[in-house]
Amino acid sequence: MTSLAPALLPATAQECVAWIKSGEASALEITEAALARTAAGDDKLNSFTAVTAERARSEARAVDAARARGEVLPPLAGVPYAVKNLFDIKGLTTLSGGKIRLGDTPATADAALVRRLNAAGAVLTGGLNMDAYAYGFTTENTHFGVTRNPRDITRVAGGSSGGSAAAVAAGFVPFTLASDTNGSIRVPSSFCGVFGLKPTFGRLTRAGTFPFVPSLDHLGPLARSAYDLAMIYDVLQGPDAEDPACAGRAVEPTLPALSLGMEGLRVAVLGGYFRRWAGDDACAAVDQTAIALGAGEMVCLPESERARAAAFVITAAEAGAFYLDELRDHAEDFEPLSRDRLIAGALLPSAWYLKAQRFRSWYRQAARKLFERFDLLIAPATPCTATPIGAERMLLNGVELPVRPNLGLLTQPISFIGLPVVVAPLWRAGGLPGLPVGVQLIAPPWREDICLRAAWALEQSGIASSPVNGVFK
Amino acid sequence: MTVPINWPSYVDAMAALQHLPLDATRRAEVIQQMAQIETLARRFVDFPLEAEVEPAPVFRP
Repeated sequence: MTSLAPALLPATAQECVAWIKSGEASALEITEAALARTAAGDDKLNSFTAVTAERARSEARAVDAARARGEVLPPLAGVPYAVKNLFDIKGLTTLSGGKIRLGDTPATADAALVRRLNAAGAVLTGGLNMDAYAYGFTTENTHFGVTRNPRDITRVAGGSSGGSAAAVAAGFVPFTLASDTNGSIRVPSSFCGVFGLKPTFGRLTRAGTFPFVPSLDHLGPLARSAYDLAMIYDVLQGPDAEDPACAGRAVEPTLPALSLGMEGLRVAVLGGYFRRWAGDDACAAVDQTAIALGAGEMVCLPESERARAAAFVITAAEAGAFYLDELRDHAEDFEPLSRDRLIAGALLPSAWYLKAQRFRSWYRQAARKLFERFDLLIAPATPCTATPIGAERMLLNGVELPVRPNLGLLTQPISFIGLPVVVAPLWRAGGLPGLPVGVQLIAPPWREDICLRAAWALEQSGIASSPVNGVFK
Repeated sequence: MTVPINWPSYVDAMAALQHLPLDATRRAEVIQQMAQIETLARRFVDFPLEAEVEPAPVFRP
């Protein structure tokens, strides 16, 4: 990796914007650096499934031309990024991690969020690997290959947005977009040591992305700082009639208030279920966060075990029903790691599914009561640090569990009721050397600003950070 | 939910209803998955809810 030139990256989006604005670097130079880093390093990780080099150069040249004309540059002018391969990219087939999609017609337009980033001047460098259909927490994709964790390439990157987290952690691009249905932004953010934002359900338009579980699908960004997350998220917001779940709220900028930090916020730690299923490293990260953010109390979000179970059933039922026709016709082409869960999902009693949906309303009410007393809740993002590639079982507080379905134990109850969350990465002194673990910073609905302020405060205190390290430095 | 379920019979009937062919290996795996999902479903299907607790559909005509 030392041969990379020019050595502009790794850099944050904030740094890229500043360099371009001041003329220290051109958008094309930064884009070439991103493409060079990706070409030199991704054979170790397998985070990209497609690199859109010519498109990226063309978009970068357009930014440089606008600057040369003296135009006011848009907020993300010249910042390279990439997207999970369930986002439509004009001219490419939208894979959603599935071999079964390879014969599909290429997308005729970009996804809505890609269009918004394009309008903001960002430069798309490619599509990223993921678990097939977004059904998994490890990005061990049988057809497209496993995405390895840049912090330790013998371990998984987490999933389902493993490519999105690995590409940021390795410094290939300053930020990425991903989806999160049960934890697919938050689990890989935790394992790869990056910041990830899962906004409120219905906040960001999903138009032009391949669905998984429409009741629970969210989209959001991953980056290496809270500032970058806020800057990117502010560009992504806004109503869109093309997504029926998009709530249609006006843009509520978060960047201007970021430096308020924890001022006036009432903070608690989630105990009970969220403690029971957290290992030592995850508990230590939460405790450290609690002290830094001034959490005075440990509270219980009741019936979280049931919430997780209900999310699991909704996921299996909606995804199974969605893929039923293709399962009939060519089940053999489906991902072996999730095929049987999809088939079982298609056979579930409708009463279970509907009870799960009704329970979602009940659990939402329980959370609302907690938010009468608190503005921010802290929980671990994953039960443990990144697991070894191929691991089948893990031991968690004396209980042996299958790895793949259980890495989202702590994220599923939160996305079940659509609460906004930022994952901030911590580096545990007593944990395995070099491995991060994330904490969930959870706010009331539509208060992404609070999650981002808390992440920013943790970063300022030196507790959370996302350096590019090891061989990718 | 307390009576043991005959999952092989259930899977066979539902797969036939859905016109979903299952070879012996896949059938066995799906039966195992159904049993695992049932374990999870047990955690909430009997949870008492008031009649006014409705799902929250997002469909807006």
